[in-house]
Parts: sequence; structure tokens; C-alpha cells
Amino acid sequence: MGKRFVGDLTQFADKMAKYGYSGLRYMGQRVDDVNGPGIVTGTADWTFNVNLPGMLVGKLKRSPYAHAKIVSIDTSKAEKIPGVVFVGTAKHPMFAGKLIFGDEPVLCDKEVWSNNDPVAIVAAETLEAADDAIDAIDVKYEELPVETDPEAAASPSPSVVQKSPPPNKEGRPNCFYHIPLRYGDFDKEMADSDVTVELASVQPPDPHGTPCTMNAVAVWNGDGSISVWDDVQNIHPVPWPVIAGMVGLPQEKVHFHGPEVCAGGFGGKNAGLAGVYAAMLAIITQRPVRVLYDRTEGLLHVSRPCWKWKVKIGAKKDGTLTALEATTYIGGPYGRFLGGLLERARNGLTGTYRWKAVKYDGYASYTNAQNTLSYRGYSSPETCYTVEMAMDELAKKLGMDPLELRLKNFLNEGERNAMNEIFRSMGSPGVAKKIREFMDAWGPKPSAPDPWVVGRGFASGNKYTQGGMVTNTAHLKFKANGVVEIITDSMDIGTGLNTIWRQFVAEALNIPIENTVKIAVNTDYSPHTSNSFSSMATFHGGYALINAATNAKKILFENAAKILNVKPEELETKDGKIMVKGKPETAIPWSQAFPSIPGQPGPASEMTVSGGIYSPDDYLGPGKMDPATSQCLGPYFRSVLFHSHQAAAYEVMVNKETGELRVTKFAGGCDLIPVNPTNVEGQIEGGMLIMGLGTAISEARYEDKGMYLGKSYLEWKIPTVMDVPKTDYVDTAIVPVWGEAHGDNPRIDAPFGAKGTAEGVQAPSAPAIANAVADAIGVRLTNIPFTPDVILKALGKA
Amino acid sequence: MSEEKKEVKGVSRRTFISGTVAGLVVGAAAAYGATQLAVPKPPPAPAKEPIKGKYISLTVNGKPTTLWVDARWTLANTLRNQLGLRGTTKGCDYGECGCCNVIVDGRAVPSCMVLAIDADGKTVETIEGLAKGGKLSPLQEAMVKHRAFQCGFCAPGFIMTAKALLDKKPRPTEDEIREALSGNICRCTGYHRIVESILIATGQKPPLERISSGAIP
Repeated sequence: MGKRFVGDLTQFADKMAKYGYSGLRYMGQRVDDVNGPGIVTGTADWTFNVNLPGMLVGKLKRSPYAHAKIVSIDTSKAEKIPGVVFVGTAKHPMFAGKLIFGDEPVLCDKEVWSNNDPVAIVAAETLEAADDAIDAIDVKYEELPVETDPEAAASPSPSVVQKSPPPNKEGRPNCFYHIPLRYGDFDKEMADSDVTVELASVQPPDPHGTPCTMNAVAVWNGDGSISVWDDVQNIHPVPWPVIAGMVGLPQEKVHFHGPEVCAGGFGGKNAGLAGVYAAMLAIITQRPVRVLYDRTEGLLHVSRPCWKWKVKIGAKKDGTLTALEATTYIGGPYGRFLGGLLERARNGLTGTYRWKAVKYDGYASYTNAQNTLSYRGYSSPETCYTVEMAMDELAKKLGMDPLELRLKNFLNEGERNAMNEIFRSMGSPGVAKKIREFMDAWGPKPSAPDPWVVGRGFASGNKYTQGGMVTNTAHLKFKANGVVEIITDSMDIGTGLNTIWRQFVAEALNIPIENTVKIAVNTDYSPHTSNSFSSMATFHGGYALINAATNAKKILFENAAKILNVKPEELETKDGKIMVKGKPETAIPWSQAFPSIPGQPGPASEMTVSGGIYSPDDYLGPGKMDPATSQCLGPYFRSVLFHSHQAAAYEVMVNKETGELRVTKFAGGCDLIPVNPTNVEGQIEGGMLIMGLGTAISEARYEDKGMYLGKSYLEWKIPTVMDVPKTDYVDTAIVPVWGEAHGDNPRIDAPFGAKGTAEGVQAPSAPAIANAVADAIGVRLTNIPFTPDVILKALGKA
Repeated sequence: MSEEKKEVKGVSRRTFISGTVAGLVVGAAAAYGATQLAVPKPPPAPAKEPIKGKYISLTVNGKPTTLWVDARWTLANTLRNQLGLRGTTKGCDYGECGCCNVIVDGRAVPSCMVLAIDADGKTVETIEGLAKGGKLSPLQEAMVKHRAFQCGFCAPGFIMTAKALLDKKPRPTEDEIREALSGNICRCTGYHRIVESILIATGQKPPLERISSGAIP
């Protein structure tokens, strides 16, 4: 078995005791996943399994071209097919609107911008009838010029001006977003550098590729409301208001059910698009409707955008970093979440290392590439990829050990970074050293028979989750039988949130975990707690639940104090009872201390208490950011909720004759207090051995005039079990680190120290593999993925 | 000009299925047995009217069942929609992901690649047949304890594939496990814990240490 390191948490527990918590009864424990039995018996409540009597099949007709004028759409043949209930185009008022950020038609009418744009929609009694109808819709197009390169599209004089009227950000006709960062005397610091490294990389669009594609069921209710079951990662910020807005109903008339487990998200299920179409068809047909994207739609409809990076870094002879210059271009047919990516990329650049000067510009432009959506890491894998490769090249030029170079330049706890943010909970050095320890334990590099060569690579990573979009609230319902119901809108997307919530509540209330229940998510009663995107669910929801437990204890202690004739601060609670500290014989059950209803004798039968942290100031500090320079203004202000850090190392074997690449050993780790170490290890392994590995070695996108190959798992290859190292060569490390928050409200700056995990773990994988490949073949490859043809070309053999 | 393109690998599922219907009418044998596929046969005489469907009998999780199936239905869709066995999930409909793997006559096969009419007379095992009397099988138990899955959508296919392997070979090596699972795709876990769970369930690796209190080693 590989090594599983979890650092000592006793120091942290002592710290927690100072803030009034019991310690490690459930925190840091390997509690079994509450979804586990449902998953292994196939009975988990995935939206995919929602089945209603009389349910219709909804399907979209999609464009085969990346950019074309729609000449005509003839639906007459499709309408005559037996079993077809409805065929719609943008001519129908329901489909005439714009999606998400107002630049994306629900159904295209005049023009298509990407090769998967929807142009018509069908509802039918059976899948077969729906498929026949889609084929029978006759759409005539006139092809238009295509631009898929985000850098060319961002030029002041692009070959194709994409939209009318053009967005034109700062004299760039296609550009709709520009994020600059200016810090320090850049020209001077770069000029004073003894050594510089320049590097450019292209990272192609990469779909999320979840086996379960986007899917939703909607049903029209007789009272004018609709019920929607949608396989989503969040509910309150995007899918619920978007669906209600698109169908013209008040949100209260859209009863939105979240699944028990979202069947894989990675950012691709943030928008609730299947739910929009299902809801529209349900209202039109007044029947239940399922919209399930097929495999091809699942791979072509959403992806991360293509990233083009140019980076130049400088250093002194002794390895002290001086200046960083970075320019990046991304693009897509519609704005969607592209703007935010450039902001997060800026955070990623300024984190981890101490720079004297930074100059960064990020541009997002309209292109005819595949449509985009948020993708695991939301810029951190793409940003770290380029910087971490440059760091290795710099170490080579300086003749330094790559780890030593990094250790010399990591920011310290409490130091200000190049955005003038105070850096908290900095665990990069600890994680990096632990991963190096694992590498050393692998022994010397094995020799491989010719033509195989072996290489090893290391990289650091970071993920800085930004604030905003959340007024997090959670309810706890205390029942007379000692059970506590956890009422939130938090979606478990496989990260273990349903279990994590129970651990938080059981820890905060000091009760057996069996007495906690996480209630199914439904907008009829669920508050806006946290979103399972940007690795922020545990952070936001954890705070809200701890706060709710604190508020509940205050009420219970005040009421119990009157019964027990003591002061509230003399009381403690354990296992659903309240007692005088150290005197278990005084214990009374919680239910006796529930508040009474005015005018009624005795306590009420149950008690509901809310918690949350409403003000972003509470964790971001008061202040703002200068948009021209991206500098944080304010004594404690920072733009991110938490700083999380990772590191990874890989050993690879490369065949110099065939270009084949095999990953033979792996070690990865991150810095945080684990709520559940098993969950964290699962994220490290999954993020680094599937998505990180896949982007680096196999998930190639071949494109011709905006039309993508990769419509199936056979054409777009994600790693299989044959591509990952054997179980004895998978090492993971969880390095406990916590920061202390600023100002008048000193505390651990994450709930029970739990920073987000799921995205950052992908960040160091691709650069570590790139560094390993460079070590093996002696040639630096910068464009991923490293498929055999790319490797052979680099070796001059293709 | 018609702009319609057959986008998926040149032939759509329905084109493929409609092309095979005629052959099925004259009682051609099951299409998924590799040995049967290898046997050359004279082309069947074209039927005048392609059949719409027929009654099939099959044994599902030990229970004999007879039902009418449309000629175009796959075994996966029939299990899910006609027999209400929704534990069999589907990720691709083209035999690429392994989510819908079930055991047919002792072999793990993607049920989206088997036409229901071809399953006539076969014995089918699905994920619903594993837990007996509400008790998880040792394999399922190990996968829960070891957190083999995250979102779990691929789990039924992985578990049925692993069961088919263990039925034949109770203590497979890691290499044999990897080979057996090589047609199953998971996007969450890195495969690592799935393989380890099988090694644990077969007594070849120690279970993950539980942590009760205090410092975590």
C-alpha cells in the first residue's frame, strides 16, 4: 500500500479548545461516507434516476458548424412523426430569450457561434421518436469565417469580428474582459534580474467529462407552479433564479429539488441548463419532461476554455525571485464565467511566491471555439501549469535544486503578496518537503531498458477561492428525541459534503453523529448555505453550521440555567443533554430547554436555530480593490476567502521510439485541517490521478474550423485504471496548517480549519508531469497533452 | 443542401439497430458473443416487414421474467425502464464507459451494447442482486468503508465488473483487477481506492485504519 500521511492534529485541537470546541470527536476522523450504501447498491438519489409517469423526452437539435448564418429551419417533417408532442424554435416566445449573461440565445435564430449551439427543441413520448424528430428537422446554414484562437481573437485587428455590436474592450473588437495587475517597479526589477526564463503554453479546451451528463426533470403542477429536479452543483446563485427567470415564474413557483448526490460536477453542472429546457418544455406541454444530454453533447457542450499563456520570470544569482510578467488569452462563443477566470488567474500568479514586481494582463474574447463553463480549479491548474514549469527551468539555469528554489521564495504566514493581501494559512513549504520525502523514499531513479527513459518531476500548486455570491445561512432543527436535522442547500457532488456536515454538527454540539440527519435539498425550505463550486462549500457552510450550533447552545444554556439554578456559562452539553460542568448527575435533556411558545405552558416540541456569516467583511476585511492595478486597499482586505496549497510528484517512463508515456509513481498532498482524511485523500488521488493526469497526457482536442473531434470517450481519452500507478506507488499527504483571522474577531480563519480541497489538488499535477517528462527526455514540452505524436515530434522523430 | 451530419462515428445507434433488425427476425444468435460473431454466416433473407419487437424470457437476479420488448431497446434501457432496475446507470450508450455493465451468463458486458431481444433466454445479474436481505456484500462493504467512490455514478458498473472477476477468480492479483476494470471509466476517484477495495475485500490488503481519537498517525 502506498503511504497515507496525516499530520498530527493535537496542536490544532488545543487551539480549538480555546475557542470552546470539544476537539477531535468527529473532526479529523475517517467517518464512513453517508452516501456509500446508496452508491454501492445503485439506489443513490441521482437526478438521473428520477422517473415520473407519463414523462416525455426532451432533446435539442444542435449546430454542426462553429460559425454560420441560419438560412431556414423546417420543422414540418418532424412534427408529423408519431409520438412527437412538440417541436420548437426561437420563433416560439418561450425560446426567444437569452441565457445566463444575456449574450447567449436559448435557441439560435439568426446565427450560430459554436458547433454545438442549439437551434431547435423536441419533446416526444419516446427516445426513439425524439431522435427521429431531431434528424427530421431540416436546417439550412451558410458557413461564416471561424476564429478559435483566443490570442488572435483578442488582437486589435482580428480576422473575424465576432459580434454585432462588437464588445471592443480597449480597442480590441472581440475582447469583452481585461484584467490587469501592476505591482512594484516591473521594468527595473526585470532589468536587474541575473537570470530570466521565458515560456509559452497552450492548454486546449477540456470537457468535464462526467459519466453522468447534464440532466433534469421538470413537471407542470396544476397550481401554476413547476417542480424541477436538476443535477446541479449549486441552487441559489445560478440554476434556480435562471430557470425561474427564463420561464417567467417567480422563484417561489419553481420548486427546485437537488439530488442527494450530484453525479459529478467539476464545474460543468453550475448553470442548470438542462433544467431550463426541461422547465420550458414542461410548461408548454403540461407534461413531465426529462432532458438528458447524450454523450456527445456532454463532451461538446461545455469545457474549460483554451488557455494561451506567455510568462517571463526573473531571479537573482542566489535564486531570489525578482519579477513576473504574464499574459493570458482565453475565449469562447459566449461570456459565461470567462471573466472571473482572469481574476482568479491573477490571484494564482501572486500566490505561493514572493515577487518584487508583477505585470499581468488577462484577456477574454469571443471566439468560435467550443462553449465553456467553470472547470475544476477555475484557472488554478492552468496558471500553476505555466509558472511551475518556468520555476523548474529557472532552477536548471541557476543550477539549484527545484525544491530549494521554491523553499527560498515561498511567502511566509502573514506576509503581503503582490496584490497587497495578507497571506494566511501558508502550508506550501510543509507540503513540498513532505512530497520530496516521499520522492526520496522511492529510491534512486530506476534504469529502464532502451528505448525507455525514466524521469521525475515535482511542482507546487495553489488555489485561492474568491469571496462573494453568498449570504450563507444554515438551519438546525432540534427534535425532542435528540435528533438534529441539518437544513441547507449544499449539494454533495461526491466530495462527501453530506457526511462533512454531520461531522461539523456532531462536533460543534458534542453529540453522536448518528443523531444528525442532513435533509434533502429543496428550495421550499432550504436556505442559501453554500455552493459546491470554487471549493467553497465546506468553508461557507461550515461557518454557518458552527454559528448555528453556537447560537443554539446559547439559547439552550440560557433556558437550562433557569431550570438548574446556575449561570449559563457554568453549563456544558454532551450527547443531547445539558449539565453543570463536570456534574453529569445534573443532566437534563435538551428538549426541556427548548424555548416555549408564548401563551403555552412548557417548552415547544422542537427548536429551529439559524446560523451564518453574512458580511463578507467578516472574513475579507473592510476595503476594496483598485481595478487598474489589482492592489487590495484596506488594512486587512483580501480578495480571497482562503489560501490553499498543494504539491505533487510523478515518476514517468517515456518510450523514445513510440512516444508512449506511462506514469509509474505518484505522490501528492495539500495543506489543511481535514474534516475527514479519507475524503481529502480521495480528492488528492482523483484530482491528481484523473483530471490532472488526463489534461497532461491524453485529453487532446483536435479541431478543424471550430469543429471538434472528441465526441465520445473513444476519441477523447480520459485516464483509465491502466494509466494510473499501482496501489503501492500512490502516496498522499495532508499537512495540517491553519491561519488566524485578523481584527476584532480573532479566530481560526477557516471553519474548524477546513479550507477547500477539491480543486487545488489538480493544480500541481500537469506541471509536475511536464517537469518529469522534461527530466526523462531532456526536452521541455509546454503544450499539453503530451500524446505520443507530441513526444516523438519533440524528439525529432515525427 | 442538407446540413445534417451523422456525427457519431459515422453510424448512429439507430442506423445500426435498424440494420440488424432484419437479421434478428430469422432468429440470428446473440450478437455479443465474440465467438459467435467470428462464425461466418450466410446473409439472412430480408424480411418483408421488420418486426417491431417480441416477447423475451430472461432470468434477472434469480427471478424468471417474461416481457415484450421493442426491437430497438437495449438491455440497459429495458432493465431501467421496463423492469425498474435503475441501479444500472448509463454514461455513454456506446459501450465506452462501463457504467451500465451487468453480468450476462457469467460475463460482465455493457448492457447498452446488448439489444434486449438478444438477451432472450439469458441470465442477467444487476447491482440490485448483490445486497441480500438488506445486507451489503463483502465487496460492497469494503467499497463503502474504503470510500471507493465519490459521486458514485460509475459504481454499479465497476462493482458488477469486479463481481464477474471474483466469481471466476476469488483472489485476483492487482494486475488482473486492473485488466478487468480497464473498460470502466471513473472521473472522480483516480481508480486507486476501487482497486484497493477489491484487494481488501479479498483479504489481500489490510483495511484502512480507523481513527478513534487524538493524534492521527
